[in-house]
Amino acid sequence: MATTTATITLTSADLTGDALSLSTTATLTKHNSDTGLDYTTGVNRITYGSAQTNTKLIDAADYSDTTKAHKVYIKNLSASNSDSLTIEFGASNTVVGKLYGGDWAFLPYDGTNDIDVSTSGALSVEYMVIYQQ
Amino acid sequence: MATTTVTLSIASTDLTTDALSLSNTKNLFDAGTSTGMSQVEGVARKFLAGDASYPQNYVVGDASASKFTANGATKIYIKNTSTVTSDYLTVIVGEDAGAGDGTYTGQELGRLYGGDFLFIPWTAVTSSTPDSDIIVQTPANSLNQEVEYLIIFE
Repeated sequence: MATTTATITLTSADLTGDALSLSTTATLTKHNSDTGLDYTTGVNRITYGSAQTNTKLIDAADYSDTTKAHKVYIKNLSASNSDSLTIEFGASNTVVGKLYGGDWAFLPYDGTNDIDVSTSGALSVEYMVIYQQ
Repeated sequence: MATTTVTLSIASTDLTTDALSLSNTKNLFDAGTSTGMSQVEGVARKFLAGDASYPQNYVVGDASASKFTANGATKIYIKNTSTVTSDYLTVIVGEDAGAGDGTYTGQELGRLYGGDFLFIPWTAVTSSTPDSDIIVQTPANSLNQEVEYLIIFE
């Protein structure tokens, strides 16, 4: 079994009168288990030469589904704050949100539906899935 | 404008033979700008009462709240604060059916098990059906749970 950790740190001295200093670490384990996730796609990078609409990034067929504890990381690699990458789930392309240049997302994934992306133009995206069988 | 910084680090020495050490830091800006995001909800901790018979839906991000915008760069952090890895909360983008039995219209993203967190962008849409509320759902058991969340928006 592998040991993989994910740590998020959120800080702000001036977002409110109470300084924000949040840090938490999760050890990535299989569902209903203390055993670590043991498979990964590795860190992938794709460059889109033009704007994309509902383009499949992560194929649910590659993963076992439902009661799983897969994790997904996606980053918009553009250096421009105006370039956006929209994350969409499922056949109806339910929009989760937009990653602007340099933004990233880290989220659980049940392996049931594809994750698609739409982009505002040409840009590169980095992604990784850490998963279980 | 505020300066808010978020960092994600993912590390493993044994997931593959090539050690994984990924780290990203980003200042949170309003959509399409370099202006720091200036509004926040939380850090909040919410009690989630379980129900032995039905899953229960709890709205963490209400897309119909006028403070949120569909075209913004809103970010959401959610953590399952349980220390038990078998405890889980299902994260959904959609709209609770209001039946009190966990039914909804929308899309399940995945499960946050005890100690897990997510950090995602959020497009708060109410102009189409269903609304894109962010819902955390307890499973059908009598276990009471807690969730911690933070919404940063423009």
